[in-house]
Amino acid sequence: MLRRLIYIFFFLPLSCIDPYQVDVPEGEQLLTVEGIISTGPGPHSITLTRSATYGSVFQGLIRPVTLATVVIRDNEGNVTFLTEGTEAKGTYTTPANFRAQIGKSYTLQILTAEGKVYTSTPEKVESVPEIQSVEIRTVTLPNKNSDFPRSGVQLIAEVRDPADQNNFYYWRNGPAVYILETRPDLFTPRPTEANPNRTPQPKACCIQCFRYEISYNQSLFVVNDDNFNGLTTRIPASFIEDDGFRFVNKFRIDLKQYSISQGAYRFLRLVKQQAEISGSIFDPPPATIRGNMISLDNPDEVVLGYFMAAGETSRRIYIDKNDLTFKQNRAIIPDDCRVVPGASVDAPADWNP
Amino acid sequence: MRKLLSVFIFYLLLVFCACTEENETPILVATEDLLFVGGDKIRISGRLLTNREVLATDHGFLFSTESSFSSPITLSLGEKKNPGRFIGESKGFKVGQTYFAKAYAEVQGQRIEGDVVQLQTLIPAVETFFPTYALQGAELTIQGRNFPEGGTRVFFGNQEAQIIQNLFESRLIVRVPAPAGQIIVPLRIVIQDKEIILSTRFEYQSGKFTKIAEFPESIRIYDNLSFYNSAGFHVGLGRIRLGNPYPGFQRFEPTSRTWTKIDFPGEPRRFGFATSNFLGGGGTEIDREIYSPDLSFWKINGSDFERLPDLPFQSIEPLAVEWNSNLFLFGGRAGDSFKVRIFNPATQVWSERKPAPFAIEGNSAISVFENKIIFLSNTGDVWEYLPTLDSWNLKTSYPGNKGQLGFPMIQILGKKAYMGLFRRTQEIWELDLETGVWKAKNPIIGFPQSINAGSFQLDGAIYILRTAEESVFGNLPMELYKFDPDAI
Repeated sequence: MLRRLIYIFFFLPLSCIDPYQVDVPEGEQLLTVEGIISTGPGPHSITLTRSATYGSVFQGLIRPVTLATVVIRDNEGNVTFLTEGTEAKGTYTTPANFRAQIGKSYTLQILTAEGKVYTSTPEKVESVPEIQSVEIRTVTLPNKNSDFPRSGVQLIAEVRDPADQNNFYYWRNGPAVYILETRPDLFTPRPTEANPNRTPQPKACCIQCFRYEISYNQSLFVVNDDNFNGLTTRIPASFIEDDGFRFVNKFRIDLKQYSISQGAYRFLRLVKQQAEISGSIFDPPPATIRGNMISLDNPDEVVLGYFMAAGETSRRIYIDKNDLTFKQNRAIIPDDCRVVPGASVDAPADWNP
Repeated sequence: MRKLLSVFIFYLLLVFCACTEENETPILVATEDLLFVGGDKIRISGRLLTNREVLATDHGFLFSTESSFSSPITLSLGEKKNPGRFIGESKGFKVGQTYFAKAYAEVQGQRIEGDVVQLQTLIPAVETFFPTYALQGAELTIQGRNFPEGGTRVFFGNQEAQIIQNLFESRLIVRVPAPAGQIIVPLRIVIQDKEIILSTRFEYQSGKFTKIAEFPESIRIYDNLSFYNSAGFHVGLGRIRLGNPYPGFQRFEPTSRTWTKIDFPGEPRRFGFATSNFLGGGGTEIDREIYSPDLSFWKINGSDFERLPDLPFQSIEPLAVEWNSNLFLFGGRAGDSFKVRIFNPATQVWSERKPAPFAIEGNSAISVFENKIIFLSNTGDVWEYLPTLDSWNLKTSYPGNKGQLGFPMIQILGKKAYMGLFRRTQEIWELDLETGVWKAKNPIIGFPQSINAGSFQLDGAIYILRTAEESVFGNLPMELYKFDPDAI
């Protein structure tokens, strides 16, 4: 019995552990192309960046691709050269008078400073129906940090879809302007040697300004007409969050409706799916979404992003504070409204609520 | 029992040895996108489709002008070891021609072909070019579309230009070839068997300088006077470089290209004034930058000098011009910078006009155009003075190099003013006095550190006397150049 135990004891420390070497491929900085040209007024812009490398953690920064030669070429051979912004590095803009034309196909061609050439597959510009009307709906969202819910305005676009073509719609927010109201009478300066106790110094001006902004959607609003081909339908097209300033008085926005290609729709839908992964078992698995950019030097090179060419229509709407059924508490800026970035006391020339 | 167990195990083995029939998925080739169709270039993508390992001994694209692909153009991309996308690019197609294209792959000795796509190569067109006026050797950009990378030739008249770059088949950058005697030439672009002649013509930067004479005695004079009249071009007075005053004049006769010494009956002087018919002012330096003014005033008759009543004022280094038979003196040193004085030969009376709007001294230039007196200031401003209205007008600004210390020249031929040659510069520009358009002319030849000692015009040409700056040592004679603005 003792001998058996000795044998068993003898085998116990002989279990070996070999370290497992994992060969993690070095992350590449992939060219990322983002931009849309449309039939709307220019200039239109294309942004080129290099993605950050990643391993266990993200490394490096997303860097703009500068000093590239970027052109847009139509199917007749007309080439439009884009110029890089002096401040917005990596952003290349068309001349202001450039507009895409319905029925034409466009390709984006890029010659990088390193001499690499990239091209997109042709994107054909399809016509887009007008936005018949825009309905406003107040939406509340749960707030993780508070019992008071987040809220905002959902824009519902009414579209009369043409029956004779397969349409792919994409909505984006255009420039927005709203009346910003502040409280200059509550102004208290920062403590200084001359005023260490922060004695209030009310200002006489100005309470009301017009603030300009680009309010980006946090989600992608895309849809195809499979379910309403040839019919008039209403589709959520935008969401504008109430931040306590926007809907205090009057808010104006240009809602832009694009008719994109099937490939662009498929790309955006996949991006939307990936962006809205919530961590549940029903989520689609994360994967690289291939765009329409190709490296001519190495066709197997992964190029991220999508160059889109689209028909564009736009509709301007004014939203009054009374149009909202639920509002956030009014936020207060205790200062002259003119100090707020993008704010001016002068109303836009086309302000016509 | 053992036998039964053995049999059972044997049958059990047979059960697991069921044969599977190999089911291979087909290998397909797809002709995908026409990525680029230009004038003579086609870029197309295809794809080898299969879900297993594959070795294509060859793959690529076929092009033909006929849908039957008889005698096709083959673009072979060689061996392909994996399925996936492939891109081919081929040049040398005929512009404006319909072609058919399809992808292919050779797998296991069998050729697999994709769908046929139809395309048409595009027709080249030119929109614009710039600059429309340039010097030989300059870079010129032609904008248009569908310029083939091979087979595009650009001609300036009959002179072929070197194509430096063909950017995206839409922007040709060419080097302006040497002119063949003509200043204005048509721009032609030859592509395959097509020729495009642009409606706008190209103009060569012109202006030819020819050295025609040297100042006699191998001397250089400074602060001198010069004038031109029917007797010839007179240069003199002032002082010899680092030396004594120069007491007389030398007269140049353009037809014989000879110099003749002319005596001056008055005292030598520096910084005086002279026109075709009058001479006077200036002074002699009695100490550094201190002058004893010379008030003598002379009428010039050819190369003879007749003394007039003395000037009623000092006048050192003014600008002088004759207009409507009157003598105008503008500015000068010693507080006279803004003075405008007129001498009427008929009445022998001096009078004054409104002050000039800018300080005028000898470091500016003056000329007459129709009813205006044109000034080129030392800072490059071009002013007009209307004697009839006694009014001033800032017309434009000299676009060229203004050098360091002014001293430009100006001569007017017809409706065009030729001005420039500021100190230490060799640039000369043409200003169209009606349209206000500037054109650079070919720079002057000769010693670069030269200044103007006088100029005149005759028979459509401008003559400029140049002298090396006083600080420059060496045997550098004063040189007289003939400038023909429209010659190359």
